[in-house]
Amino acid sequence: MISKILGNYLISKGKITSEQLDDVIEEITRVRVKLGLIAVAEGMITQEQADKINRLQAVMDKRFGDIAVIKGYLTEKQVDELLRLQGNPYLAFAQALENLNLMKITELDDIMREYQAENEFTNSSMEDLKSDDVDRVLPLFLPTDAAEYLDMAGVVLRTMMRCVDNNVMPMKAYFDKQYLADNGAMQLVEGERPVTCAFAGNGQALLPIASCFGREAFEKVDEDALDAVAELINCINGLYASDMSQQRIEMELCPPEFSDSISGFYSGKMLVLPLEVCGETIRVLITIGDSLEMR
Amino acid sequence: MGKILIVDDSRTSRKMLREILEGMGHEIAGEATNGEEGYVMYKELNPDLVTLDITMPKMDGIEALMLIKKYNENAEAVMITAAGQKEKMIQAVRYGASEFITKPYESDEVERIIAQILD
Repeated sequence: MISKILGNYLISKGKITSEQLDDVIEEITRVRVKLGLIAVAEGMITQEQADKINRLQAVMDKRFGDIAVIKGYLTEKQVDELLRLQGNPYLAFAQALENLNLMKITELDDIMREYQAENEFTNSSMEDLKSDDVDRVLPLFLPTDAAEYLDMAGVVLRTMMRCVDNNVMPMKAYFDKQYLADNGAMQLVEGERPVTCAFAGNGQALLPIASCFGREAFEKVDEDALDAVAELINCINGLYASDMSQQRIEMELCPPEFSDSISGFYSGKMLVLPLEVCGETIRVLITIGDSLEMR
Repeated sequence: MGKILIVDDSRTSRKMLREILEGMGHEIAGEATNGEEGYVMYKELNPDLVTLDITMPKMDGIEALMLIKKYNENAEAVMITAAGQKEKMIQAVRYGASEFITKPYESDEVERIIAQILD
């Protein structure tokens, strides 16, 4: 996530090209060691325990370390130690730039100060951004009065990173009453405060998500491709409902809907969260307590 | 190896499950897109096991399970659900579901559960 956010800024400033950013991301993936592997290598957990946690991640919307603590395999202190061993995501990004002879960290730090000033981020916000932790990064991109949307937006982002593209990039979200789109999918989750999550696309923007999640090479955003997007939303909403049930808030999923021929999405109030996924920009639409219509 | 009927309104979900089950060597007897269709196909095909998505239009998986169990009290039915549907899962147990599989599918988990029932 941070690689895309900062990398796109470097591209906008003409410091690197998009092809070079792809190389940087590949370099980071190549050298960044997963937490589970470190934990096994350090003898803190067994391979079997690591595999079990990886399976649970798909249905628990929690980080590896969090699940390990819940299951009693690791203590919080051990997780902190593992994170320390894994390394700082911002430094990994800086290291990758240096390894590829694109930029020294001193130059990157100078450019980050410009980024901070342009976005009016505090030093604390920049530390949040550099942490690459969804819970800390997402609030930076949401309106200040969007606190109640944070849970759902977090589940969307984490699930997308796990199931579709590890380098999903959020952009500045905003509230609106309509979003014009050619196609999309949505699902209502009923409860005391009904929630709707929708993915809106124009043209073929939703195609990479459909193909990646559906594990099928769709050629265009048709009903079969949107069915795959709807199924992803179903998984996302299930994880959200699971989080809510831990707070004793029961929610019930309705059958998802999708269409390849619409004018847009309409609501009394919806959060519009632009996301860059696999090189395409889509909009995630979230309503809480308001209805959402796709027509 | 068994004969399995898949009931799910999502084409993607049916395809993913079919690939896992066929990979295990099972035969897919048929696929239905809602509970009503699933019940009719169950009576026609008499599969060894039926998978029922809980959330479907027209007739959901719980209602289909009730009808199938009424038709055949020994029917083996595995409920498919997104996470966080605890109330529905409790209902399904009450109506005789054999097991649960949570989406997104984990191949190992699906294989383990199906093998437990059919082997």
